[in-house]
Amino acid sequence: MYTMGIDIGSAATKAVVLSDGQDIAASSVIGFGAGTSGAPRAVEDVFSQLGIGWDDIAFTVATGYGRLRFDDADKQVSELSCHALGVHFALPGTRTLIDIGGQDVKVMHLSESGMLDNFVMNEKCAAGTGRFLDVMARVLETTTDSLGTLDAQATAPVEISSTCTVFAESEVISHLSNGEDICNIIAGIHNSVAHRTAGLARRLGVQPQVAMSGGVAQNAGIIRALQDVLGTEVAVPDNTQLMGALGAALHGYRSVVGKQRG
Amino acid sequence: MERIEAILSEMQEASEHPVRAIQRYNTDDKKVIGLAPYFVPKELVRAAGMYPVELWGGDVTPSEAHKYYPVFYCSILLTLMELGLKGDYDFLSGIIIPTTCDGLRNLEEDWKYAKPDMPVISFVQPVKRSGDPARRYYAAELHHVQHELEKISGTRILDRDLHKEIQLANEHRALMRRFDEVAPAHLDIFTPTRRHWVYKAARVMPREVHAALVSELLSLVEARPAYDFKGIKLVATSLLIDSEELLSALEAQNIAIVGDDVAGWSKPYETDAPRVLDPFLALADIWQGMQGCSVLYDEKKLRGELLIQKAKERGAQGVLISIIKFCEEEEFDYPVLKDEFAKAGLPALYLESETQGHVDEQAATRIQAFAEML
Repeated sequence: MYTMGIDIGSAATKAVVLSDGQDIAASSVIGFGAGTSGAPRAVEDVFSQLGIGWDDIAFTVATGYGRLRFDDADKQVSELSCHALGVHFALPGTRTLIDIGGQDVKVMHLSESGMLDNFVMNEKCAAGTGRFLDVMARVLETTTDSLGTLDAQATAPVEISSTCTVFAESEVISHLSNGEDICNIIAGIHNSVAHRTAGLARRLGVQPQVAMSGGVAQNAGIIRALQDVLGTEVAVPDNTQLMGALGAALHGYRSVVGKQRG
Repeated sequence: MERIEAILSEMQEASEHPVRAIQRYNTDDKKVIGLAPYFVPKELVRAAGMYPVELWGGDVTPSEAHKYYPVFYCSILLTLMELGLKGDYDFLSGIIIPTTCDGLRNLEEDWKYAKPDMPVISFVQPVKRSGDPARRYYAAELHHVQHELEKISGTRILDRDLHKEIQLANEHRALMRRFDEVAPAHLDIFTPTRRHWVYKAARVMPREVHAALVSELLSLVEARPAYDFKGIKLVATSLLIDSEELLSALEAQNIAIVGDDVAGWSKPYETDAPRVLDPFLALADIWQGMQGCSVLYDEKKLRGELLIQKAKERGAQGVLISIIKFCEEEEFDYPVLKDEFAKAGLPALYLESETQGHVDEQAATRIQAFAEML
């Protein structure tokens, strides 16, 4: 039995087709999010990988900011619940989960069964989010994918103190014009994001094991900085960007099994 | 049910179109006095033969107000100033601005500069709210307000008239407390939005009109069997929850509000004025008796404890903490509240809101995730 989870985020759409609630049969990541062609393209992609169509999917759960406008879903579930379930499936011992998405930061507590116990989200602005890192990468004439590698080459990270994306951008430009090494600037940016995220996590309370999911978790520099600031290991599941979609597909599987059991 | 709907519809109309409501109910063409937040006694304005109206800002995008305030500022004050600058309050004969928070102190000064033709009555509430000197200070300040109101109305405020208004206000407060207790048994009728209309209408309706409507509403509702609500019950804490979009988002997740300490909802009705000889001291006793609000200095920090008690009494499964964005008073209370609710085993839904109605996807996601968590 196939169930599908589709995570329509602000920056990208992720789809997972799960076989019998156990194995990822197909997955897709399209770099376009809510309100774009991302969702139909992700669905088309996983269907073509498996040679299947809608009739072969027992249940579909949509999550992410675009979830309410995906008409083909049987159910819409918040991305917090889905990330919790997805990460519990991949890393069962996780108690504190950090998810930095395109436009927000979430910190969650997970129960032993992977249910969402409590959560906090960032407020007011995009500072410290995936979008923030995109803006910084552009200013530094690099790509978001390269940030982790460049961070590893830093020798003396700079201080980025601004709490606003726009002001942080001008702070970074100021460092650039002073001839600061780009790797040190990137490490400084990562430290700045980590401090802001850690502040949010401490608002909730940090319980080990700590894990991080979402696309930004692919950035080794952010993981390095978070571990430094939190003073604890931060685990990252394989296919971290797919955790929301995976959790949604698991939700779908549980819905079908629940119905069958009456 | 038809009459219940008609009453709620009248309250909705007054909530959504306050100026129209004032024109409708101010049949004697009384002078209208605006009351900025928080907790200015309407009794004094009414005893002067004038029509009090609460001003909480509104659903407007600030533009001109930024001449006086930065972008990151309390939206109650920003939108109040915006509406003032746009001329929406030009029908007022005066405005009373208390000093309950730092922002209001600035509002009073800026208003005098921005609206030189409108009388501004300063009302300095004492921060310390216990002891006889503080009580007498409050009464002395009220006397200052009295004299300024008398200049506008051209009539003297007699103790006899103020006593009468205090008695009427006490009756209205008792009625609103009864509403607060009855409404949770009828959550099919009193959704978060409709419950909000009942409180919001009181900000612009004359007290006797509002009291008559609430009294009739209660008699109709109490004749019905209690409703077996299957959703999530929360108690709410905030200074102001005016966004109907936010309330609708709660309803979409089958969440009901069964009690609150919100300054714009039930808080003004919690404390009665005692029967004492000096009516100004009686009003001071209300100020000293109120507890559990971020803008009221609270030596014992009772806000969390009172909410936990209310949640237990009303069978609430959690707490909605709705903070006005950029409000320092609310932000300072939050860490204490959060810990107290956690110790009491009450999950808390934290939201930030503004007087502008817009609810973003993030708020909708928080509400849904919280509902799923419970």
